[in-house]
Amino acid sequence: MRLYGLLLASLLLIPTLVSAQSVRITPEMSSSTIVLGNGEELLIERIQDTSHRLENEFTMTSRPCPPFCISPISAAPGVETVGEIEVVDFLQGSVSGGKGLLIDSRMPDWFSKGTIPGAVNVPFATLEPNNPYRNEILKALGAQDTDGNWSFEEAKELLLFCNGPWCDQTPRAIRSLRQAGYPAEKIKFYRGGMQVWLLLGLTVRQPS
Amino acid sequence: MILNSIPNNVIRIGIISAAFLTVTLALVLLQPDGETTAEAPAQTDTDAVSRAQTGSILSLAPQTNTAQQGASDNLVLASLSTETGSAAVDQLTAGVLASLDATRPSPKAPTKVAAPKGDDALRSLTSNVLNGISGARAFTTHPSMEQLVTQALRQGHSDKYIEEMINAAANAGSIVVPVALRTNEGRVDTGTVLADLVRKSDPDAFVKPKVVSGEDGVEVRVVQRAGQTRQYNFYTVQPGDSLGAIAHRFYGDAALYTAIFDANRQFISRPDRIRVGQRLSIPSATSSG
Repeated sequence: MRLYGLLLASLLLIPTLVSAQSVRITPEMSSSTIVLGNGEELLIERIQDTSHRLENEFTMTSRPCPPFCISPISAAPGVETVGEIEVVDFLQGSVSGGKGLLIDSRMPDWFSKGTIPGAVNVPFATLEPNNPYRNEILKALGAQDTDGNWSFEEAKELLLFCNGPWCDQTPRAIRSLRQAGYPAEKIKFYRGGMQVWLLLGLTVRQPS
Repeated sequence: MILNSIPNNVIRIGIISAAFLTVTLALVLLQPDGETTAEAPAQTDTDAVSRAQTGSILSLAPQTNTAQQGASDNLVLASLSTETGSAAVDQLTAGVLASLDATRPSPKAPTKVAAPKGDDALRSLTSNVLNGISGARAFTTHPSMEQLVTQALRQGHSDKYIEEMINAAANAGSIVVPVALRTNEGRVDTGTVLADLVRKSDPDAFVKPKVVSGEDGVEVRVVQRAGQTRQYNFYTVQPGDSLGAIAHRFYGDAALYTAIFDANRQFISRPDRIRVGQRLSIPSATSSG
């Protein structure tokens, strides 16, 4: 009698368990928990409501070009272009290990509306050569300046993104970084950006 | 409802920005080999934006950051889209920005040259970036130079102590110091930082400094030409001077150093590279009121 009861209960439980994980990131990964160097914990998962649709500005299809033109897949020679899984892996590996930074290259008002968990805001405008304080940023990224000779050996790996494939700010930021001497193999480009990240229902964080 | 209203707004913004771009292009193309340098920045005056950024000493505390960011965003975009520095384009930009977003503080008067403010905007942006990057490294966030000075002032520390503290922080790379506030000895000119903070804390009490010829390196020459009387100011760099200090002395605002820098660009490679004994020409500060 008791055995039947248990069986029945577990049979009733199974569908709820299955539906709780029905929108996974990959077949192997339902969500990803990242622990940052400062002890902060990030959780990346997808919206589980299978009828969910975007209703914000990211539903727009036809932004005028210029300036909102479609970016080529490659931002610069030698700079790897990546997708969402690689972004999660980058957070899991480089960022949590303190070796890399996930960079939101949009202006602060966009960043404050919501960004990929774990991203820091380095607006593209601060990387342009006309910013007299750009060297301070390069130093904060780990580059070393000895009398005008820059060494990027200790510089962090960067993964940059902005609003999406129609956003020129990341390619621009990458061009500025390359021009400053930042090595191409330390730069990655998430071309999908916020547009694709949101479209896949992935977690967005409001920076505090 | 929402879906209907968004595209309308976007179309409107699109049309406005398209018109703006066309006019900008036309102005850039038609621009005569412009004389928009030396005297213009001096006329910038303390305008709405710089006041918004530094309302009072106390409001320099972190809580003003969000409001500031919005404004600086616009400013950076403005200075980016008008790299030609043309006064007309600047004026247009200010107008378009104001009409696009009436909720943000719009510049009270169209400014002639965005350079000093653009620099300010970039500095505040950069400070935020440094905070963000160091925040990812550890829990500590670095206060800005002004915040450090304000805090020390509140705690009643002496000017000497503040100078040591700011220089230590600058050498450790934890604060961003405008190049114009580096003295010719490579130190941070905290005297000018303090004087500027005091001035910004009470913009109404601002009195344009009186420059007296013959006083510590100041030289004033009056030249009559074609019935016009023009006054030329010169200044000989003294030990411990920074370009910001000189701007503060002549204009009452260290941020206007760009006027002096622009006027002497053939002699100065960077704002912190002024030499003792160097004779600088100081553009006249004809305040626009």
